[in-house]
Amino acid sequence: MTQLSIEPAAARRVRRERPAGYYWYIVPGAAGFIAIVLLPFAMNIWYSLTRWSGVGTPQFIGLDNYTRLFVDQTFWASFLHSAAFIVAMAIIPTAFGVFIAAVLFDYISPRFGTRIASFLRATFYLPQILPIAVAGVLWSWMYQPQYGIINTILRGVGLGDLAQNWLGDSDFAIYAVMNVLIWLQIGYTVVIFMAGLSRVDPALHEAAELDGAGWFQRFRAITLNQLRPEIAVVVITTSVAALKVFAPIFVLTGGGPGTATIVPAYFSFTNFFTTNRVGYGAAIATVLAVLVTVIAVVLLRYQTRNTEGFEK
Amino acid sequence: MKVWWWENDDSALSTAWSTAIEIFEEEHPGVTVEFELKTYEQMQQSGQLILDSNEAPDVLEYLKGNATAGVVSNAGLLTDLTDVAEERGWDLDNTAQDVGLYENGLMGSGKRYGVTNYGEYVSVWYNADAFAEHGLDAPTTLDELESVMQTFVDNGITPLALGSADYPGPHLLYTLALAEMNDESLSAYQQFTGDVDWQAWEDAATRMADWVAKGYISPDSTGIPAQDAGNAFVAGQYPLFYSGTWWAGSFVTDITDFTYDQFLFPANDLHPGSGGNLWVVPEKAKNKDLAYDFIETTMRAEVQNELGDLGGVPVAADTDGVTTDIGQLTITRFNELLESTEGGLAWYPDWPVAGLNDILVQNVTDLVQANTTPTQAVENIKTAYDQGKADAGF
Repeated sequence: MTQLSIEPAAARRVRRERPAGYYWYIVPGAAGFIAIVLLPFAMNIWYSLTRWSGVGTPQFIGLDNYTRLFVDQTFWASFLHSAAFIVAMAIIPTAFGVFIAAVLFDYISPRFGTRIASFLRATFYLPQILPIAVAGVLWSWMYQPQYGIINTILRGVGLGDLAQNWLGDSDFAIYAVMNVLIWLQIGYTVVIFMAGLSRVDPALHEAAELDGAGWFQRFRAITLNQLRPEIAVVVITTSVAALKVFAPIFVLTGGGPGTATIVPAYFSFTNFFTTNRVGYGAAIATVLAVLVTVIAVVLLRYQTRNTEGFEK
Repeated sequence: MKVWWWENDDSALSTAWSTAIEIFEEEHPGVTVEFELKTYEQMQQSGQLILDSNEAPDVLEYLKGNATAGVVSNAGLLTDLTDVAEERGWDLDNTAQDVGLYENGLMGSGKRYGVTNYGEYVSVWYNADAFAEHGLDAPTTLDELESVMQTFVDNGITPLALGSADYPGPHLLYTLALAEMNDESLSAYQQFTGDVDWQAWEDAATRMADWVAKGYISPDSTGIPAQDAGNAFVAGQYPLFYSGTWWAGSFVTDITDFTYDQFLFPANDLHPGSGGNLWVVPEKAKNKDLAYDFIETTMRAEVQNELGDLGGVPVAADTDGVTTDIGQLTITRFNELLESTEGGLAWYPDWPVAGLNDILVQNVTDLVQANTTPTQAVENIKTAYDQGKADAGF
């Protein structure tokens, strides 16, 4: 019997060459990452250390923009609003999304057929494919205090006292915007969770049913447990999206009334493009980028330790 | 030759400028005008980047003001038209054309970087039928104006259409401040020539808050943009609307079931208004002579008269050549403001420093909602004004 063997030196050469060979596969992605993310980010950091109106030569001022930033009430208010939008874009849509997906999957689909379930899933997803500018205009009309459909209906059914200046009242504007964000996000979470549910082994539900578990017990013990990887992914992506939210604020309120709905991305934008304080806007963008990165890393690490959704 | 502007297709300016393109092409055989429609926001937000690139057009409509044309002229991105205007004998000898003059980025004097075709001023549009119904005349003093508004309130009507989620709110606050200002204090505010009269602003803010309390202005106005306020006036829901001549063209078309008119804000010598936005020629433009020819074409009587007939406010029209009522009204009044020796056009509240419009809107909405005191609102405006002034190096 002939025994195949590799010489130790050759074996070492193979082991050395293999990783080096794989590095070439990273080059296209890395080049794109450097050109589109890393380089602009480095330039942004540089601009954040300057006073610059967007034209002419930037004037280096060290950390002045940052010291000014940390005593800027609007900046801190914008982060406080970000926390509210994490609730509106991550926490509430995730909670509602799991529940709606479970109802569609466990209840609607078996009783009314997969077509109805798919149709309903599509209706939930519709806000996601609607251009945000269109959605913003629609909601602005609905919220319009005088002839908007919301106040018109409230007045029509004798609840005129509940009619509000939804986007124009500082006390209500943030909740009105949160409502729009929930409406936007739910479709995304429903679709992800329905996809997740489709990979859950039906035998688990059958066994639980045989043991006498009701729907809610099965939802809690099986559905929620099995969906942990999807929930983790959704929470991470929606939290990051909430911190970066810009377009809905831009089209709905412009950060107003006053500064009642201003968020870091919009605050950065106004400094870039309306006050011509590019350096200051860059400082806000830098702080926001660092914060988003830190939060994303923390969530990812937590998720990796607690679920089987990612390679450990 | 590349031309850009952002005016809507159905606007008076766009119509008149399209005529200018036709005339220009007739007179320049072999030259094709490549027109591109932009948006106001595009030019406001990325205009300076475009002007700094090799893709700049030959001539374009650009925003007047320290924070826009001022910044790019100071950065050397615009062609200095001072000598061109002299060589070509352009008649720019009226104060409406001051919006094209910049010195170290400050508007109002210095070298010429832009030419405006039109002017604008802010006044009170009113529903003459509603006034007649309640036995009211156009007021001539602030007390009379308040009395008129009180009459409407007493009859269950909110008198003043206001979009305080947008520029009309700051315009009203500014005009109330102008009531206590003169040329000297106006110059101090707009051109940094002295101490700003912030007391006039505080008195204005106090009066505005009082108007909300008395029901002259709806607190709901903070959720209403300018367009909605204009639409509500057109629909006859409010008898008064304080806004600019840029509404004239649409009012002619849209108001069909009542008679409307306008009066200048009572007892004020100074009124928000100015020459309009500018034709500028980028420093990097490739066909500058053609651009100058085009600017000349837009200043011709036939183009200017068409602008006047459509409700625009031309700066070089032959007054006899403008035949519509609205054109006669706005041109006559604009010329009165231009020629006024006391007061006249007071520019706009957000012009002195970049980003002031956002601050004004924020504080007016807070003021209308009683979330802030008049003192605090004006303090916030002053802080932003001082900061913007320092940022711009003044």
